[in-house]
Amino acid sequence: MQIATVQNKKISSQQIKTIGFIAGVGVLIAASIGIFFMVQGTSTQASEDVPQNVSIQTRDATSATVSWETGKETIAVVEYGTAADANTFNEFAFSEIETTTHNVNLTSLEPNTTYFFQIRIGDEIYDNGGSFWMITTPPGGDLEGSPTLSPSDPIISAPVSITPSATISATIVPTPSISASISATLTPTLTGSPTPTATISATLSPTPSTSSSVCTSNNCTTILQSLGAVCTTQDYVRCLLGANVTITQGATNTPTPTPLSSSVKSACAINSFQANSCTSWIWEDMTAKEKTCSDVFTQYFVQCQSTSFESSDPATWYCNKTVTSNQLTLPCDTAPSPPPGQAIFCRVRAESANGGVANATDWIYTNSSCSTFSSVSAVTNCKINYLQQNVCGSWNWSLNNPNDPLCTDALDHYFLQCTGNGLFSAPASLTPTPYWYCNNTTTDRFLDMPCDNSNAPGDGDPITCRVRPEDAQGTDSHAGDWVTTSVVCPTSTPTPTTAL
Amino acid sequence: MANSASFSFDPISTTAATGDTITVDVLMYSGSDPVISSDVWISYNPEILTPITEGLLDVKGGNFFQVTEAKILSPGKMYLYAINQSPSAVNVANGKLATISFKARNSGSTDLRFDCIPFQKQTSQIIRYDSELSNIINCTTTRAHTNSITITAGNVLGTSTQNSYQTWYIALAVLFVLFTGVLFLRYKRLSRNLKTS
Repeated sequence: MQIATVQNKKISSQQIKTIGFIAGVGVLIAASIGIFFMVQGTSTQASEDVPQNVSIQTRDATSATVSWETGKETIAVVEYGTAADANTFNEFAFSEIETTTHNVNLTSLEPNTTYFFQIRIGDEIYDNGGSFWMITTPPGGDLEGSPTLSPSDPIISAPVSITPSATISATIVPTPSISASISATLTPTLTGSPTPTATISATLSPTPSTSSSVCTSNNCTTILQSLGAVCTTQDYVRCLLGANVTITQGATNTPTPTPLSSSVKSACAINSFQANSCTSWIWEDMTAKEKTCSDVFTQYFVQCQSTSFESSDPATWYCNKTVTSNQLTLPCDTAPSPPPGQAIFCRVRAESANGGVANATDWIYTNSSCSTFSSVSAVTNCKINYLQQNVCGSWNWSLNNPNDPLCTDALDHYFLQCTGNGLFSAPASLTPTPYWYCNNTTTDRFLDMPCDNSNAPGDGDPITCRVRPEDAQGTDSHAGDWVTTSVVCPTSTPTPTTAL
Repeated sequence: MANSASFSFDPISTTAATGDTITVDVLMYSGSDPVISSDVWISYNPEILTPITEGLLDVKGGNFFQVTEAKILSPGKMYLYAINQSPSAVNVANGKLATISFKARNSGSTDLRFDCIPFQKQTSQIIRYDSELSNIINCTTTRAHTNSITITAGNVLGTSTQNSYQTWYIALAVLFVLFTGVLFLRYKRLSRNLKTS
């Protein structure tokens, strides 16, 4: 019992020392864990920027929408390219406002191409763990995969008629908040369906995309000292020139547009506008005019519909968009294709980057109608069956089935050309152009030469003729395929007296 | 019709040995547009390159601007700005904006890149002298212009450094092993004492 007591005392003394060490290690470990979680806590704050639920929606062969969510409102940039190498990501698109729900449209993509992208938020880059996200666009011209617009879909594309009474109003409150309200009455007209009417209104408040880099000082020296931090040289120069720097928004600055002078509008007016076919339109390019025009007017606003712009009749819209090229192919975006025989009325004007009537030239109008015969040119019955010479200078031809109502409805006449050398490149004037024997249209299926006052082929002369069916317009896009036959006129042929 | 004002580097690739000085020209192209100022943000790998002078007071400006200065506001980011304080000095700017220098710190490869992303706070800009002081930079073009730098091991080796997180965790691990060892020895001695007694 006594021994045990002594032993207990010895053990207790050493235990105290050991417990001291254990406590020291424990404190050290606890401190380490605490520091570790402090670091983790910082990471957690940063994780609110991390894109969540990244999704990709391919809209058509050349565009796609990337969507994701973040825990806090951010402005984000999608950087993309065709190789899985961030160093080659030279294209980018961005969300224009700070938001937690991001929808960024990637445009001008190549059809049937795989793109890789990463998301940049501030100085952070999110690259899907280094493997990047991918988009593969469908083959060109394939709009089958285009999503159907739903009421919640924010993108509204043609055919949509925006009535002239649509109003846009905005109030810009001094920095940093901007509030705006937009309301418009939209009347989309869809072929073969009732005409629905929808009213869309939206209030945007505020649009903080412009406030993140606001340089608030009016002291130019202070701004100069703040360059690279909250101010840019744009702020400094604006200050030097005496302007109010509080509206500065860095790269996103969009000052209040000044309406263009009437002299500029007049000098840069579009003077020619034509249809190559009812779906192919071209107009005078600003770059072909004096430099002021191409500097000021950087885009074109084009509208095409099924009725005249003076008409109040309901119209089907085939285009209603802004483009940078001076050419256009209908239909635009998701608008319907014009049917055969459809009249198309288009107008175009040049606009500055600010857009709107105050920053645009006057409209120039033109119209065209769609081919009726080319729409059936692929139908076997409506193709030329044969073209033959009966006697020298007497030709006849026929469709595979000239009585097919499909063909007769579309057909207006035939176009026959005949030359001595088989070349048809310069048929402008028949006489005295040598070698041209015929360049005529006819509603019949035969023709005897001479045509008008042109030469007639003689005995032993070679002659090549070609014929095609055409509709009333008779241009290349309004006709069927040529059929060509070459023969040599026999010698001592009698003059034809009877047509077949 | 789109403007194509941009920055670029000259040369577009550089090979040097550690310890060498690398000199690169920053070029500006504004076409026919008069430029009153510009902001240039350049990214580089600070583990491989070190700006030749902190504060970059020796940045050599070109002939287009009255003021050309540079700052290092964070590791790996150089901010260079150029301003014409007098509008009468404004002209088109097609040529050298400035010359910048780096010391090759460690071997490896890196790119000098222009930071140019709309809506970012620290982004490159080219400000045209017009009534709106428009930023006319084409970021897509600018971002495509890089300078590829390859540093090979040379006679003058740069100091090898580790980042602070690695240092901290290694120190912590050594300390932990040390205390665990002491603890083990203490228990061993305790066991021996118990056996002895």
